[in-house]
Amino acid sequence: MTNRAWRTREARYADNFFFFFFFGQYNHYDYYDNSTIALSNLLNGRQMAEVEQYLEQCWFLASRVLDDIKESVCQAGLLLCKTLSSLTIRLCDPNGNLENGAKAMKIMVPFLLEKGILSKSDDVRAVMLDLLVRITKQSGVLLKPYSAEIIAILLESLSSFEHQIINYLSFHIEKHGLSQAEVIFFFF
Amino acid sequence: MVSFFFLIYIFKKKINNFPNQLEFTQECSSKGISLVFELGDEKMRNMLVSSLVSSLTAQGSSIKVSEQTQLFEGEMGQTPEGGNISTYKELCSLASELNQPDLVYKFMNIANSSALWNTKKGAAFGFTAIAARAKEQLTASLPALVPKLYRYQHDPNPKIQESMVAIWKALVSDPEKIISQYFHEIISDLVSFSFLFFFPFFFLIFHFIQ
Repeated sequence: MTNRAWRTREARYADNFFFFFFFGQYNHYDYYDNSTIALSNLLNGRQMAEVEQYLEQCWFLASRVLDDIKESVCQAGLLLCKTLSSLTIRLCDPNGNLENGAKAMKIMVPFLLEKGILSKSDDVRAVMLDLLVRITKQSGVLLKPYSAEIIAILLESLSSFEHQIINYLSFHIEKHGLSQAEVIFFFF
Repeated sequence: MVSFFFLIYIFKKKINNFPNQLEFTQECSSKGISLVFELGDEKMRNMLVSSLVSSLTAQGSSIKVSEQTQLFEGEMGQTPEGGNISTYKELCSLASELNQPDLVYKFMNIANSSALWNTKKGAAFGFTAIAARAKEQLTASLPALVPKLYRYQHDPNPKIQESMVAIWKALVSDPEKIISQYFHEIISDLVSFSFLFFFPFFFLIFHFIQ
C-alpha cells in the first residue's frame, strides 16, 4: 500500500467515465455508500480484540472514501472518520489495558506517519494530523517508543504543512518590507 | 376462495397494466398472495403456483424447474435501470438454496418479473413471508446472509433501507447477539471492496461474483 498505487483524482474521473460508458450507471458507488455507513455503525464501541486485524484497513478505507469525488460518499466517509478516530483514541488510552494500547499504537502510529499525514488530499491530511495530535496528547506512557520518530517526521514535513503564503513571504521579505519575525507572528 | 380469485385477478391485471406506477398494488398483492399461500392447503397452493406461473409466462405453458435458473441469469443482464441488482440476485440464490420447490416457485413469481417488481420493496414483502416460514432452513445460510443484510440495511436509499430492515427483523430475533457472533463475516464483507481503490476495473469481476 504505497502512495504511488493510489489513483489520482483525474484517473478516478476517467474510471467513472468508463463505468458510465460501458454500463450506463455508476454501479460501484452502491458499495461505497452503504458499506461506509454500515462500517461506521458497526465499529461503534468495539473492543481491541475484535477490531485489531481490521483497524489499518478500515483507516485506509476511510481515508480513501473521504477523498472521493461523489459528495454523499464523502459525507459517509466523514462519518466513518469520526467514529474511527474516537475508537482509535479510546483504544490508545493508557488508562485502560496497556497491552491493547501498545498494540493499537503499533498499528496506528506507523500508519499515520507513513501514509496518513503524507496524503495528497487536504481533508484526509487534516483528519490524520488531528488524530495524531490527539493521540500524542493522550497516550503518555505508550508514546515513548515512537516519540523520536514522530518528532523527526513532523519536523521534516513542517514546510509542507505550512500555508503556501508563508513559504512565499519568507522568500520575498525584502520586497514587501517585512521581517522574519513579523511574517511568523502574523500567522499565529 | 373468493378473495383468492380476486387477488389473482388483481395480479394479472397488474401485469398487463403499468406495473411500475402501481407500487401500492404491488405491495398489497405480494402480501396477499403470500398470505393465501401460507393459509391454503396443498391443493390450493398447487393451483396458486400454477396460475401464477401461467400468468407470468407469455406462452401460458408449463415450465420446468430446471429452466428457471437460466431465466434469472438472463434477466439479470437485461435490467440495468438504476439500483443494484445484487439483492435480487441474493434472493434468487437463497431461494435455490432452500431446496423447496414450492418456495422457489413462489419466489420465482417475485423474482422472475423483476421488471414488474423493480422496487425492492415489493420483493422484500414477499421475502419476509418466506423468511418467517422457512426460518429453520435459513439458519444454515445465515453466515452468508447476515453480512449482506447488514450492509443493505444502511443503504442511503430509504426505501431499500426500509425493506431490508423488514427482512432483517423477520430473520433475526436478537440483533446484538447475531452481530457479535458474525462480526468477522460482516466486517470482512464491508472492508472487502477496498481493493477496488487499487484496481478499479476489478469491480466488474467483483460485482458479478457477488
